[in-house]
Amino acid sequence: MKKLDISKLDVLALMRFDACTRCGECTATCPTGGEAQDVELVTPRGKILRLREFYKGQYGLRARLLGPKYQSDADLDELAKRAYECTICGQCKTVCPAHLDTIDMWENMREFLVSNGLGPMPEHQQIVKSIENYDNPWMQPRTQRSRWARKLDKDITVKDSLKEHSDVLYFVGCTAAYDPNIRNMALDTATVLSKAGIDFGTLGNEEGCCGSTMLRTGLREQVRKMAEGNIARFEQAAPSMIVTSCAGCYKTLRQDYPMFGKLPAKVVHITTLVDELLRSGKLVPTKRVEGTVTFHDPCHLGRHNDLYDEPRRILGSIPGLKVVEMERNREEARCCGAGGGVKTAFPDLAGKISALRVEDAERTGAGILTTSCPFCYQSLKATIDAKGSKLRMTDLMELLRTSL
Amino acid sequence: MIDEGGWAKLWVRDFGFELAGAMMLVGLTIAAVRRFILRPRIVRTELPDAASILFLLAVVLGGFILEGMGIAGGIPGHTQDIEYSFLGYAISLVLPASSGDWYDAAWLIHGIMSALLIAYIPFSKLFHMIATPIVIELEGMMSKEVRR
Repeated sequence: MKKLDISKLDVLALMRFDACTRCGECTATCPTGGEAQDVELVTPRGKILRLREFYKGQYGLRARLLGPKYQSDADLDELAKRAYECTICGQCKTVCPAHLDTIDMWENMREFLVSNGLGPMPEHQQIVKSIENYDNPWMQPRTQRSRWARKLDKDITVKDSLKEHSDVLYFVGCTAAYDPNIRNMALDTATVLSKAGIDFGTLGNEEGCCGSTMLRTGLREQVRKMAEGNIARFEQAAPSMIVTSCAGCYKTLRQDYPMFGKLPAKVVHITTLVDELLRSGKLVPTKRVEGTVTFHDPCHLGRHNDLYDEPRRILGSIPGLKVVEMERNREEARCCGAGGGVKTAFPDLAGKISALRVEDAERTGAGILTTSCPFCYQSLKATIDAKGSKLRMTDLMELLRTSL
Repeated sequence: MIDEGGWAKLWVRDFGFELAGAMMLVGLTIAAVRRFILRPRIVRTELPDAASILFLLAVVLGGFILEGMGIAGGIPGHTQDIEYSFLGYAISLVLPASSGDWYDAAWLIHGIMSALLIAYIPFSKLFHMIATPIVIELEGMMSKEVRR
């Protein structure tokens, strides 16, 4: 039993909890609470009501009149565990009739849990330590960060933006830089930028983890130093644009970094830049790519950043490719299950959610499933391989690069 | 006192309040049927949910019955242009004239219940009536890039 520190729950946060009408619209489409496991406490409504009950029990009118009601450690641990089973996909935000910004609510709730010693989950600690010690979540040495670029064609030049000015700074992200299965995402992105004649570079081994994983698990203050380090390097590189190929890095740089410092350049996702290049005629896909493809909207691009049309226009520009939509797409797209630290702490749950999304893709009859996020790619690819699906998982830039 | 034959009495107190009450009644009936009879999977009914609907229903229905009692009993203020209070008038048709004897007591009960309902709002799920519009406005004012 303990007294809860509610200093992390500001006036807006408390108002949001009171604004929930308990209608339950969020419970049906919640991938973790409603679909993959039927547990009310994991659903947005369940979390809101339980947390509200807890803090009102300690700070509400009744607590002031009759004394606070402290919750047992088991009840608090259960709330924390259930709160961390959320992928923060934002599906609840889409369906909420009260228009609550639930994405912000869940991240704020995790900050509250961390400040009370209830989060993150023990499984997240390994990633946190890796980021603190190696500056990446994969426990890989800093000196290997730019190794991916060795596999690029010899005629492609990637500048070291800290030594030589480049117009565009490509923020590669830890997963594409270190994971051998995702490395092609960085290679294809660099190839596409090169073919468009973009003057681009990277921060090389000096690029630091953006801190997305830690931010999503409630460790906002621990990210401050990392963010300030990256912002200082951005200032030194002084590009006119920062491009990311990772949806998680994009969200973090665009939405979270302004809280830590002013960025010297606009942050765009690779799909936005490529879409502009295609529309301006600087990139012209010519080679046919035969097949039927369906696009999975990453939560961090779609619901978190309203970026839906650009990837579809890119796919539509590739000759020969037939694009079909999954029944649940754009704002209503199912989550892949990997976000919010769920894959790390609850891999089985992540697998169940991912299986639902792969089934969505299979129902379209498409042979290719594509996305624009390394975590979605990892998660969906693992499920496709595990269930022996005939789908081929690709990154969007891979399809485009094949066509150039 | 409100002018017995004036527009405010006819169109605001009689017709306007009746219309607003009727709309509430329709909404509350739909909510009650959905929550207590249809019971869709996403709806979870606990005491605060039931109390909110039943409390509101009691106040709204009580208002119509009170109006009907006033008209049936010929209480001052309920004798002219009574058809403007269309639902109260309909109820008055089935009430005896002697119901007017209970008008003052019914008025007191209705008044106390209405006051209690207002006092109950901040401590109930009905608080979302106040919190939700404020949050929607605040969310709209906040930049998407800098969220907190």
